[in-house]
Amino acid sequence: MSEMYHSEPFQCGDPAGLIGYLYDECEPGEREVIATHVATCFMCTEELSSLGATRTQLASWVPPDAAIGFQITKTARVAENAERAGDTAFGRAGDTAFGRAGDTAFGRAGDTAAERERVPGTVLRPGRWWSQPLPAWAQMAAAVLLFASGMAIGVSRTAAPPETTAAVNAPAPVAAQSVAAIAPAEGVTPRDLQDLEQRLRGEIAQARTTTAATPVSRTADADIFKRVQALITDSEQRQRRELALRTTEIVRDMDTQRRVDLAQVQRNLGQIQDLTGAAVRDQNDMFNYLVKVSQRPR
Amino acid sequence: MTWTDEELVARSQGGDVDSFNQLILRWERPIYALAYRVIGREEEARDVCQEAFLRAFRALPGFKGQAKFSSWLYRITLNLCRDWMRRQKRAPVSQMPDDTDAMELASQAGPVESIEDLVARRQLSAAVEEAMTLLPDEQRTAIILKEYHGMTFQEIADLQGCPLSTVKTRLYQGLSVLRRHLARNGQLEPELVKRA
Repeated sequence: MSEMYHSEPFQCGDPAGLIGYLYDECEPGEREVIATHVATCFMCTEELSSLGATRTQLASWVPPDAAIGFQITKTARVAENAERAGDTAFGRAGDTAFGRAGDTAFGRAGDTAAERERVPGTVLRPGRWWSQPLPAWAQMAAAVLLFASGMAIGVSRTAAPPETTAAVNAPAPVAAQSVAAIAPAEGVTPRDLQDLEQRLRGEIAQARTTTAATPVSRTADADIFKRVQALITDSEQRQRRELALRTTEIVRDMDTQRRVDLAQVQRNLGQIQDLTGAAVRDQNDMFNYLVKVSQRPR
Repeated sequence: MTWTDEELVARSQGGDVDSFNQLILRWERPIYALAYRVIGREEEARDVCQEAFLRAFRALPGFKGQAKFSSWLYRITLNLCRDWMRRQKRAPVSQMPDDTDAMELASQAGPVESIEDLVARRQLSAAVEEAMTLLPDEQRTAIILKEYHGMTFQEIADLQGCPLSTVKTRLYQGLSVLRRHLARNGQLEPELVKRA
């Protein structure tokens, strides 16, 4: 849409003319006319002056700094897809990463003619939370989870070697047997208990023997245990560092906030002093006036 | 060697991804600033910025160069901003949380600027941002394009799809509202404010 500048003669206070003059986008002839008028018109001069001051204020608005860094990059999947696209005349084009510093991907055309179709692919959003460093509590939770799973693996390995799995991992038949044994007889005799104790002792002893006979499994468990311990140690160190960092930040924040508050207070005090001074001056003037008037001979 | 936008566009259309990356590098800041000022939210502005380049990249084969690449990109961005605001169905929100000021101040305070000046500048910036949210979309966009992107009346008219006189009216009315609001907040000398 295009439109020529209006060539109507400028009239006092005409917003379009004033805006054109303000932004220096008048027609050559129009500018001189407005300049001549403004030189003699107080209202238009004032209007232009205040609009100009507003523009000056607008310049202070700066968007916050943001890590943008978008770019299009090839991913490993691109090459595969590009190869696939090359097989068929209208195959799907390859993929290209598009995002901040290559952390996301979307469809892109490759190098062949078929790929130049530029079929849009899946848009993946830039990394947000997953790209951020994990908080200390999450790291701790992960370490605990890892530790627990490591322990669970260790327990299951020691308690359930292949040849004894059936025996040890079968509490149900034992329980069933006990129940079956108990149910007909209304009371449990000491003999039954002794039998049960013997059986359990035997099973436990057997399990221990089997465990002792598997040093490889123990070594693996020890490795896992070591790794878990190392993870926990790392996590603790990270937490300590995090704590130190946070403490430093808090101290710095407090200091900055204190300085800002002080500046604010000083500023407000200055304003109050100005106002008070003006009020006192007014009162003095009024008092002087009253004294003068009261002393005037009638 | 520095390529012009037109040359980079031509090379991108020929399949040179690096050329398009150069265009992104050249325009991402202005586009982000435009999106941020129009919709007033940092994270969403970043998303809009990314989406704008994404759309531009996809539509590049169809770009015949009738307009400047930057104008085309601005148009895409403004359309995305408009869509976002329609989806939100609310005025742009000024994203200026109070509790972040201290950190920002701490990181920004340098030896050149005193803390008092910094406070004043931040307050003024916040006041302008707040005042801008009061404007209708068209007026705000016109002022943003004019003040922060240095477009001509004609370019704004083309982007907004309205007559040139309408652009001037929008600018005048927008500036008048800003002037009143800034004066009310003590950011503008009262004598500079036109008496109603």
